[in-house]
Amino acid sequence: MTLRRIVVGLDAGPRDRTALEAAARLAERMQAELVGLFVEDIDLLHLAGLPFAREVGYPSAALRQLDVAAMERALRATAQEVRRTLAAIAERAPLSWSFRVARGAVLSELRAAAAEGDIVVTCALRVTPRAPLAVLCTAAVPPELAVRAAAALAETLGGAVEIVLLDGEGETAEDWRRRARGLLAAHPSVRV
Amino acid sequence: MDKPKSTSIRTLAASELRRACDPAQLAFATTDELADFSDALGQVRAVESIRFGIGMPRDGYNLFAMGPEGLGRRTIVRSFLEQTAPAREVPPDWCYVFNFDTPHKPRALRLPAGRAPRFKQSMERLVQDLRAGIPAAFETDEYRRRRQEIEAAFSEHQEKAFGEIGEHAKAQGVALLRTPSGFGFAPVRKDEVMSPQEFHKLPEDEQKRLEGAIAALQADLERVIQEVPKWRREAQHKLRELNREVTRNAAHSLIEELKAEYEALPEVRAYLSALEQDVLDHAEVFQQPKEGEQPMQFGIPIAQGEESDVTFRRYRVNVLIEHADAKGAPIVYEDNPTHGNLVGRIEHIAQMGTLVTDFTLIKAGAFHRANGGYLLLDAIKVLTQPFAWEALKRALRAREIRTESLGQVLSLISTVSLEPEPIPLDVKVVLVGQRMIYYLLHDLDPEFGELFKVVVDFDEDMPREPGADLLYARAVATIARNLKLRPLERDAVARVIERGARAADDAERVSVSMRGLGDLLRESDYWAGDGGRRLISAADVQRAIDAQERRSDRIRQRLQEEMLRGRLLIDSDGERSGQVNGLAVMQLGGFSFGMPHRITARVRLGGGGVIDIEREAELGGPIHSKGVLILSGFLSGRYAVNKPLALGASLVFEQSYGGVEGDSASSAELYALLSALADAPVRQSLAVTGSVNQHGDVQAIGGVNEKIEGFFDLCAARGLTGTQGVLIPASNVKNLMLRQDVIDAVAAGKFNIYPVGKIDHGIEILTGLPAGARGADGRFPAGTLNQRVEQRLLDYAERARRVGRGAAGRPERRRGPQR
Repeated sequence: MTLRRIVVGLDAGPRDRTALEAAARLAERMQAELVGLFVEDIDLLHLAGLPFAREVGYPSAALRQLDVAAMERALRATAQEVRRTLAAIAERAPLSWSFRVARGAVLSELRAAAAEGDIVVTCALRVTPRAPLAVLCTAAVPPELAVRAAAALAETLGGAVEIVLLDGEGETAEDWRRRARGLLAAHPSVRV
Repeated sequence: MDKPKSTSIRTLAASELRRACDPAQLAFATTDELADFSDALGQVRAVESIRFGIGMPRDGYNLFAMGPEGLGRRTIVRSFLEQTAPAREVPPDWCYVFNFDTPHKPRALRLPAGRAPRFKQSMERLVQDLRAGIPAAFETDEYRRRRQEIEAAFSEHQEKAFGEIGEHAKAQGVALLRTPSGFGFAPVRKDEVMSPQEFHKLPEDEQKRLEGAIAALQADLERVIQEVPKWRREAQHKLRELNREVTRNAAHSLIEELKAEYEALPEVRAYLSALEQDVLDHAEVFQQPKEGEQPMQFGIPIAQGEESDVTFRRYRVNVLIEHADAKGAPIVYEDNPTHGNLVGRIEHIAQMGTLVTDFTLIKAGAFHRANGGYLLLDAIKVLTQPFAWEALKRALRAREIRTESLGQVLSLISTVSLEPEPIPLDVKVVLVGQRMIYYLLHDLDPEFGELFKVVVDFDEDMPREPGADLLYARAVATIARNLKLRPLERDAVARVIERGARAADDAERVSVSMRGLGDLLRESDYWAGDGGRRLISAADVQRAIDAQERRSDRIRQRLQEEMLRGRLLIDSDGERSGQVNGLAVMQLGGFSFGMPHRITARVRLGGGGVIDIEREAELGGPIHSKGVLILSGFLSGRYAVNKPLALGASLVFEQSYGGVEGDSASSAELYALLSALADAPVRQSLAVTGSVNQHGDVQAIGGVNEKIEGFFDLCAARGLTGTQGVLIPASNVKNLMLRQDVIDAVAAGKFNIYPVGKIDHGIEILTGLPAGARGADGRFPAGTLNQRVEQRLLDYAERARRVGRGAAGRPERRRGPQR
């Protein structure tokens, strides 16, 4: 059993290239298509729409006025940059790849992507400092596959990877988790 | 003509023509029996000076060995140095090492003699050990864990600060969001950021509260973000400290071990301490990154130095000079004393199209090699090399060697280069040069006398005192042995000594030119070998002498041929007024020979005194002119004293087309003049040499042997008649070392040599007339030559008076404007 597609989910946050590189390596290993998904975070657009919207620059610590148009421009620019990066990485691999932009809440967009039965690799969740990358999937993906993907990512990254099971209610999900945890013994840097 | 009585004429006996070296004095059969004579022959004064100069330890007592070429000055000085040097202490070794404080001023390290190469090896091993030990220390788990701790502490600190703000915001219903270039705060409802519409629907109070809370949060965040660089710096500092600690643990014991080895050398210990600090500061160069991996810190690539080998060059040791196998003080002769060869050079290597240098490229010069010992230099070479003389003086005055390029010295080049720490200089310099250079330097360079206080003046010859012949024989024996020549028979040695006296141009002295002596012995050995003899005989020596002359006497032979063919007009018989055979010496390429010259004088009434045609034609040198001017002085002081000198005489060297210099023909010129004035014919079978003073005394001249032989050769070629001969100054008799054939001819009465002390004596020999002395009446006796001369001059004066208008008072001026 193999993966058809690997979606790499990105937002305006940092460390995008790390996630892209790691996902590309994974796609190359698993001979899957790499799909870049850039989520224009609706929260940011909401923030920009507020009358007192401000941004504290990092690392400059400068306070700047925000507005929707500027934020949209910034997001578009970021998306373009991610696309260019992805293109460069994928061409070097080489991989079959695609790229799309979605607007909405980050988690729900990623969830929607996972719902298509793919593995979503993302750093957008910023789960914990110990796990810079997360693998999102539904119970439709066999736990073996998810763990294998996460382990491969962890190896490439040299850090920890977290597996997040979406729609994690009910017996199926509990069973999935149990099976996955059973496989984790061999991969200390992966958590469910 | 009446027959006046002539004073007794003395000719020299054959025994006076050469002071032969009596082989009976030499109590040996061959030179093999003689002990070596290693002292400097005939150089008593020079040897005393050398001993004093070498022994005198004070500043400025450097030596200048002066004298003509070929005396063996360098060899003699060197042999004395070689006797002294081994007893002296071996000087220390010197190295240049990197100066960690001011890199462009490399430090000089003094090490005990012979230790420098070991020090260099120790340092190379130390660097190898460090390159192995330091990376190993950084590979340990302990180091990795401590490094991770620091990095984690930094990121935790950061995240905790952001987390706290996030929590604080959440409590007030606000979310911390990551924007593309920073952070922002937005009000939330049910974990989602409110849209602007939702926000506007909120009560005004709530809106205000949120706005205020967000403003406060933003201020907090700003503060936190501003703190981040400080935390990073702190973490970096901690990491650096950790690196230093790890490096120190790895390096300290290695360096301490080396320090213990150089316990007694505080300079070396200080260098090692500085090196340790430098290693700690540059620990990263020892950690060679893995292939293709760039070393990172906090995710930021660290700038790497250039090729690490370049970095390690700074720990090298440049052994400038070492005396590992030396015994005693060094003796250095620098053949090519350029500025760089004296003070040392700083070389450059091409790197990426530019020239770079460092302390490892400093090269030692002659001063470094001779430091603590002796340096021999040729004065002329030092003086002709640009700025070498200045460098020599500066080094001796400052007592230190400052290695810098000429560009730096002259401030022509101002690019950054090295300024190596000067090395203390303690050297005795021996300059070897011609006497003229010494006197010129003494005159023209005020510093010279300060720096070269010991003059070593070599003699060209030594007296032939009793016992000297035997010493000379021993020197001959030593040279023959040193040059691996056949031994000389006793007669051959006698012949060599006679040749030495001839070379000295003095029967009572003998030349100590070692080059001339060596050449003669080598060539005699060749002829002995040519004749298949085991010993060098007197005939071999004679053959060597003849062959030497034969090789260079083409011009003499051609001149003599021209005389015999009558193209060069020289008479050797008959009589003629106003014409005398003078004698000149020609020197061509180290070979000198005498040849006769016809000197003629014409006289008439006039006011010009004696005109020297050579001088008028600018063919005569100043000394020759002086000699002729003395003749006027002689004439006006002796004859017709109370009458004006109304004489117009001219003197010339016939058929002389080159320059004439020297006053040795002035007596011949005077004889010609007197003969012309007295109208007394001069015997052309005689030739004359000698200078004359205003009182008519005949004075000594040089080259008497060559002059006699020159005339003798012409006469012998035309056939000796027994009337031929040469007039020489009586004071030159001691210089006679004539050829055997001349002596034989004199002994057989076929040739005569007349020693002459006074002009009157000489003119009697030449004209056969008595000279005559003034009587009680103040007049010369009638018929004497002097009377005839005076009469002629009185006639001229009387006629001049009659011509009137005081011609004598207003002499014709025929001289050039500058005369």
